[in-house]
Amino acid sequence: MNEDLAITRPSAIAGSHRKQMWRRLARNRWLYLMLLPGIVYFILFKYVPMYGVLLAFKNYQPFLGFLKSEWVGMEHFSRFFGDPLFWMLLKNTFILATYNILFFFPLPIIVALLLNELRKEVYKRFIQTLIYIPHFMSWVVIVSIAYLFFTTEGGLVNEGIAAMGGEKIQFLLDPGWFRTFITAEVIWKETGWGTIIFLAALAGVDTQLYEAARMDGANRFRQLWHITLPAIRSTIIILLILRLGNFLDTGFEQIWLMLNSLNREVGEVFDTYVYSTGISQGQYSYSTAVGLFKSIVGLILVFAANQLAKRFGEEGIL
Amino acid sequence: MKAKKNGQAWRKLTASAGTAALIMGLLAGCSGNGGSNDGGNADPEASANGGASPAGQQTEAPKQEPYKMSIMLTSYNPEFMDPEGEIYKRLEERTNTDLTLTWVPSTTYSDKLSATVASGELPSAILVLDQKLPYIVNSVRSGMFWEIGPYLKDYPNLGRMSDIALNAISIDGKVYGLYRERDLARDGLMLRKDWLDNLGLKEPATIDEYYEVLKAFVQNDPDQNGKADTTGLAEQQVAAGWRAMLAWHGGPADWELKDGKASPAHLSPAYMDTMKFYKKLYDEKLINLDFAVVKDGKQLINGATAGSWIANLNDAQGIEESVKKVVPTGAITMVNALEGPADLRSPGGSGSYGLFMIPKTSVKTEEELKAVLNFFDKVSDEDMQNMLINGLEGRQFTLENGQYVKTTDSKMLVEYGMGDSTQLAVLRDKITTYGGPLVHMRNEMWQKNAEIAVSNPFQPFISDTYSERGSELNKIIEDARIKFIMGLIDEAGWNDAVAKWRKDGGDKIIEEYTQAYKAVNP
Repeated sequence: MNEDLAITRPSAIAGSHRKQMWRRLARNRWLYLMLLPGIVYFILFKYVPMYGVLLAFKNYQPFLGFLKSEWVGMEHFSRFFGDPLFWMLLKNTFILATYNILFFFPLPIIVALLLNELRKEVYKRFIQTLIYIPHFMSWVVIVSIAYLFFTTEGGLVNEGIAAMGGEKIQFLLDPGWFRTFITAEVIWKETGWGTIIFLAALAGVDTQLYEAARMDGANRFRQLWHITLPAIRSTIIILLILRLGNFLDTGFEQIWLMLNSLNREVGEVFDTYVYSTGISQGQYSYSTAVGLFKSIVGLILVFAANQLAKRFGEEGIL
Repeated sequence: MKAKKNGQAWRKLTASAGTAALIMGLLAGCSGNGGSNDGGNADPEASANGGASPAGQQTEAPKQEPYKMSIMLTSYNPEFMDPEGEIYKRLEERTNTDLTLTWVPSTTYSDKLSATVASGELPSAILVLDQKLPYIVNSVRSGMFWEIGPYLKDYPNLGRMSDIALNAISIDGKVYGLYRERDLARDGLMLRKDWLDNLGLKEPATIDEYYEVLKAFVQNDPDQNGKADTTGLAEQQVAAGWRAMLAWHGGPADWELKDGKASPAHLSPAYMDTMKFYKKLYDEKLINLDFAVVKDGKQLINGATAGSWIANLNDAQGIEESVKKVVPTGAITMVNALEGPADLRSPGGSGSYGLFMIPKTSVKTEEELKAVLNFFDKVSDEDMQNMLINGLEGRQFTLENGQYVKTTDSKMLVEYGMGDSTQLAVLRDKITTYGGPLVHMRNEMWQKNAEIAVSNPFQPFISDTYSERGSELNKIIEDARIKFIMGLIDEAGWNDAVAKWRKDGGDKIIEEYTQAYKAVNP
């Protein structure tokens, strides 16, 4: 299109580029005008409030207000990194987040693939609806259900174990069971809901490919391996990258409800710490600093994962 | 070619983004228009009319114009006080205010309070349940709240406030709020009277007797259903009875003065004795074994499976009502304190529960401050105190042969917020107590407890380390205590936890409290 410009001087290139840009802007002015509200929305409601992170570098006093509160530089960060709890929080958060990626993330994909193999459309939809209902339950309900099943005092599972002559297990108190429970509850609640996007991606796969594969003698497993999975690979990767952005968000409510004195050493995470110091204790600046740290880690992870995906020839999101 | 393709993609993108923006714009436009046409025009008129007429009436009347004020406070009931109700009207009339009450459910109150203070947009008076929280102390020090100590003597009712209770709520030696009066020591032991009778037992007077009672409650089938399905003591994750049990074993109320220095309860030998007592209860299954995960232990005694509960004796009435639903013959009795190795003692509080603080951001002048103080002075008049606590005779209750009978009319109950109106009361010294035998028994117990209360001498002092790290440090001790009771750690493990507490900031807290104490009591 612009091959002739390649031999002209750089300034001319810049000049004509600029001219071209203006011409294009003028030509599509109505489109840009329509784009404007969207841009304004993002600037006003997503970017402007970001000045709030400055709280992390101040000693916020409500009475003095945002502007008059004293600057303290990195004081809150050094307090946080120097806190005896920091390494425990980091470790717990990372382990829970890794469990989540390892054990929860693949499940919706597998379930979606299984559902995709079902022939009866009605049956498939029925199952699908059934398994995503738990998504709409609140964590309070789910943790209560877990309590009713697993407590040592009249809990269904423990009574069963006792009836069979076994020894009751302290599921809810033993720190060794905590991560299993957190991950299992997430799986129970969110797997069905997670399949929705994958099922949508699967619906977009060209059916002619399957026909062609069958002609070539591919069985169902081969079709799955060579057609279905490659077709949804980019969806999987994009979702994985997005998930990494929230890597350190282990979910406050669930963990807060499952925490008790005996499992705190494995259960206390950044989110619960921010709640108890920031909201309950009102250490506004300090908890903002902790939150900011979390976001920065998330941002780094997203960029890293994106680079990695690109290196493996995927498109990535950035 | 590639450039062209890119160009197309770009155009497609802008087009779709543009469409999305357009749709959003249209939506926004619609709602915007709707707002400005309907609400926008109508609203000012309405408010102008609405505002003008009462104001007009007011100026004609010789009375001073009602002061417009708002209060944020806790609610414990599903329905808030009816602003059209008789009690609300009398309240406004007496105090000459145009009152707005912001009720916040007690379970979320501390979160809401912290968020409200952070926003800086505060009501004319705000209930603070713990004035030693760091953000409250910092706000006070930055000048956010009025110091009201010097004004109190000018008011007939507020002038009666006790110096001891005022000292307990003071920050840096000054009074920044109006405390809500409570009995000094309210914790005690509540037991199933019918179970005791079934087993031929008396109310226990000592810790040893109590232990025997618990044993009988678990092993001798107190509910006579032929099954071993009863628990002795009900406990919960956030211990309900610990402070009382510790005091009965001779321990201090949170902190004590020892050898001229501040010393926390968990360094006292009584703490270890109390832990061992609980451990014995746990090992012999006299306490609910899952207490460490139970959020609300009271449900066990409410549901008639547990025989005792140690907490604020205020609970007794409600427990008996709940028990009667399960076992019609069920009854509750109480014991104010159990005798242990030391004299009879009871853990003392501060003589108040929460205080109303008055922010300078909303109450700007001294004049306004006086209007707010006037409100609290007037609600402390004898008839107002009684109205807030008991309701109005003939509306919320009737007296039949001197017996207090609460109304069942839901409209009347909502008038006083199903009892939430008590949250507004500051002084309670002129209350007529109505209620069944348990209520009178409770008051009697509270009076007995007040005489034997041990109090925390460090209550009015502030430790910066405690403000900053206190909740994390408390967790170390509480977690270790529960582990010890459950047999997961031994004495050496407990000592490690105490050493960690000291190292992570405990020693600094001791030092800061000691210094603050010495500055006042040289």
